[in-house]
Amino acid sequence: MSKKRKQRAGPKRSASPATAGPDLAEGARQDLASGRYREAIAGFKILLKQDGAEQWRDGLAAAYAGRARQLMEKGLLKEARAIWENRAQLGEAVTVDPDHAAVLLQLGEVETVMRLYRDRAAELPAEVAAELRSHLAAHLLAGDLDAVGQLPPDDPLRVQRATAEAALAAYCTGDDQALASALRALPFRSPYRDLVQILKALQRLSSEPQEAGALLARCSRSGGFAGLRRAAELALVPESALADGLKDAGEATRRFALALRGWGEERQALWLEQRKLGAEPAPQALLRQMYRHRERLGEEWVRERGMRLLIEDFPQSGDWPRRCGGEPLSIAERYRVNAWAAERRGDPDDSLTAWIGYAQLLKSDPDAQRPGGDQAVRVALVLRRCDDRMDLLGRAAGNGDRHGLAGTAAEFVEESLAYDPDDPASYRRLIGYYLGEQALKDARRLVEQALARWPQDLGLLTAALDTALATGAFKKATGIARRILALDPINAGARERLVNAHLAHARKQIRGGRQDLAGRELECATDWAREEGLRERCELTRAFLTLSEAPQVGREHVRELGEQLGGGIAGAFRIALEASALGQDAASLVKSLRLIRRRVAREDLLSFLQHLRTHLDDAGQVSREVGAVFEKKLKAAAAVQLSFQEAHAACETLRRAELDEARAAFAKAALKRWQGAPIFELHAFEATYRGDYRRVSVPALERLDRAIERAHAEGDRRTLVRLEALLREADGFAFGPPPMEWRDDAEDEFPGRDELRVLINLLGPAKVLEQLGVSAKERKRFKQLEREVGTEALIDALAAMLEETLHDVGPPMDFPFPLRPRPEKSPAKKSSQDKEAPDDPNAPRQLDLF
Amino acid sequence: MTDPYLVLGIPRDADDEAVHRAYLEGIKQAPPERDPERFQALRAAYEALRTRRDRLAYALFDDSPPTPMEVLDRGAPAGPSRRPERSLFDALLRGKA
Repeated sequence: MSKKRKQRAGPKRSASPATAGPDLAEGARQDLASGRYREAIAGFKILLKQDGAEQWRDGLAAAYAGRARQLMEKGLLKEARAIWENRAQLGEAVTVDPDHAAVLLQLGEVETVMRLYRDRAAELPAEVAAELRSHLAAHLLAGDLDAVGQLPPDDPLRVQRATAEAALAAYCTGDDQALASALRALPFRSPYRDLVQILKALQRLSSEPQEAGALLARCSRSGGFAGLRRAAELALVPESALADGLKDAGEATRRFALALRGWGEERQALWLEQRKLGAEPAPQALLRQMYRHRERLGEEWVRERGMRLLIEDFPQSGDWPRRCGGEPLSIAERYRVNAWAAERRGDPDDSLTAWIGYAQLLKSDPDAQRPGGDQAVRVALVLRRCDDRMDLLGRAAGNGDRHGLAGTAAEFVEESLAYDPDDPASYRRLIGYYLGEQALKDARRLVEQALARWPQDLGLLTAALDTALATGAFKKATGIARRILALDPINAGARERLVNAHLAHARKQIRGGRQDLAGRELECATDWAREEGLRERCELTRAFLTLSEAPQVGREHVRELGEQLGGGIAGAFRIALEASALGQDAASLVKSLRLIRRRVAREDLLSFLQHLRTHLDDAGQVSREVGAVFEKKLKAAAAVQLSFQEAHAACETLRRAELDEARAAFAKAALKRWQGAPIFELHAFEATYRGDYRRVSVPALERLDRAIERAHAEGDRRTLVRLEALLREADGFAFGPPPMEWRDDAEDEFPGRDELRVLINLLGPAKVLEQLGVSAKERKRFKQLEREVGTEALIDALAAMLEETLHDVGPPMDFPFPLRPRPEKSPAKKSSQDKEAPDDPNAPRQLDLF
Repeated sequence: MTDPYLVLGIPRDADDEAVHRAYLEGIKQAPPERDPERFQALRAAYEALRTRRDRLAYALFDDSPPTPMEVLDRGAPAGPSRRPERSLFDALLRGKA
């Protein structure tokens, strides 16, 4: 197709153009450029009449040519010829267009074209003359021998026609030797040149499709062989694009291409029947066609594949097979289609219910009672389907809900093992799930069963190692790790696990006072530790072993090691973690070692954050005790100059570690440098309020709102999503649900100790005491107590005292806490108020906590 | 996905060995550099039917509806490429579409 033909019709414009002036000229040009040829013709005609300028004549000629090609594409050849003749009448200054000749040849007006070729070919531009020759060559080759006789004896069209004919005949009869010989005889500048490329391409279609495509690409898209080229190209398009390619093809093109693709008459007839159903047939229409041809397609195939056409409209479509002349759906088939339909709807519960219903039906087949048999494996696969598809066990990630969807899925996967015990993947999934849920007994049971079957399965051995470590069976863990490394000596994960197992065992021995045994474990750990990080861990534990044996020497050893590990908060952090793992007082030890400097250096801070991240990746959390050792220092370290990315990473790491006071400090410091940066607004807000959105101020919400706008404007989609979720939560909490109310008749519905613990955790012990009206002096005593026993213990004690008191005396009037905190009152003022209004029914009741 | 049995040209009761053989034969005919689309289809079909458990799972869970082309392949499979008749050449050379 020529470039000119590619122009697409633009939106329709009125066919009556403006009558004069630059508007008319501009409009005509635009119409021409947009493929609105009729409008362009009208416009240029007026312009030409007005001043007869050459430019209007050229414009009109181009518009005629465009319109004529449009008509040719629609097969309206006579109408196209009329337009070409109008164009030709514009005078000899308008160049002959080869497509004009093409129309005349198709309409049988060969004499006119021959005259044109004889009389004017010499004066035409070379490329136009070549194309005209190409059209004539194709025509002569198609069998017009009379026209051949009209050509001069030395004309290449006449001279080379016989060779081209011989080549074509040889291809059609399959005589490749004669074909090759004829093709060689055609000169490079022959008017039959395109035929040479096409025949060579056809020879290579199956064996060298890319080369065939390249040969076809060398042919003209508008010469006499263009139709042949298009048909040959259609034979090369991939199967998926064939339907589109055939859509606009005429019969000759289609039959030519399909013969090359190996389509027999039957296939072509079936395809034509399908074409009537549309480009994307409706499921019911396709099903009808399948049933109509079920003898040829196979009854079972039609039934099985046809069921897939029922899914979208199920259950209404359940009757389609019967209406198409087939048997109604059986109960089992209904179950299956129903389960597919449930999967498409996307509701996991629905899906689970549907598949389990089908499994029950399959189980009733006596063949299903033979484990490992086809029917039994079907039952097993159906029982596992939801987990396989939705990764329910993998995603449960220790959410503790054994009665939820994942718990139910786990039960079905377990059941599936009775029908298909030879599936190690199911064992691995179940063991992983049970480990996550801390169901160690179940995990151990499955590990034993699985290893009895597959003693050398690396995945199962790894799961067994994890199980042993989770249950504290360190000796067993080391044995399993050795088995893994015997099978896979470069398994770095197992090596690390093994070292960690030995170290954990060594710590257990240190805690139990068995330093000799701990020493042996440490030697084993050191033997396996190849990487520097693992060796450091061994050294650290060894230093603590020394500390337990000889405190003075040990303390110095630990301090030296802390310095080797970088000193500062980075080194202290590693020591605090080890102390905590050994059950020792990390805070006192770190303080006594004096590793932490007054000012935290930038490198020290970055190193600390890196170690913190590594620890979080391994352990998932930092104990409150260890976190408390560093939080104050970290708050001060927020003043260290960090890059935007470093500050961002610091906030994210501190969020994971739940060191919110430090995070708030880092976020606020970052906001001083990058004012209004959405990510730091998010961290500042989150870390400041920590889920307690009752005390969020309106300006704070407005800042969040502005951060959302900015994140949106900057295209920071990830932060935007987080900010929006945060705002929804904070906004809903602040203005949404009312505070819990106590009912007089709800004596037996006092919050339990766990709920009280959650509430105290949420607000913090200081705030709770303040809300309960505890005096400043008493609050100070609580603070002292907190330092002595730790926050967790204080919260436990407070929860216990409150629970007891509430049951004895009932809750204070405004307990558990108002939506917004009340203005603070000084203890003295409150005391005087108590005196003045002793019978005030709304006065907060002072609980006797001691 | 297109019916993998059709893609590999094997019966519904084919075993592991037959599936493997059909796959090797298929990729010999359509190596990835020559026919990447067909190669991908063969690979996907092979993955879907490789083991007995795969074949049972395919029958139970594959819910992709048949395409018109699949019906065509099943009802009247394409044969080897044929050279078009001379009359078709002539029609195209005369400008018939």
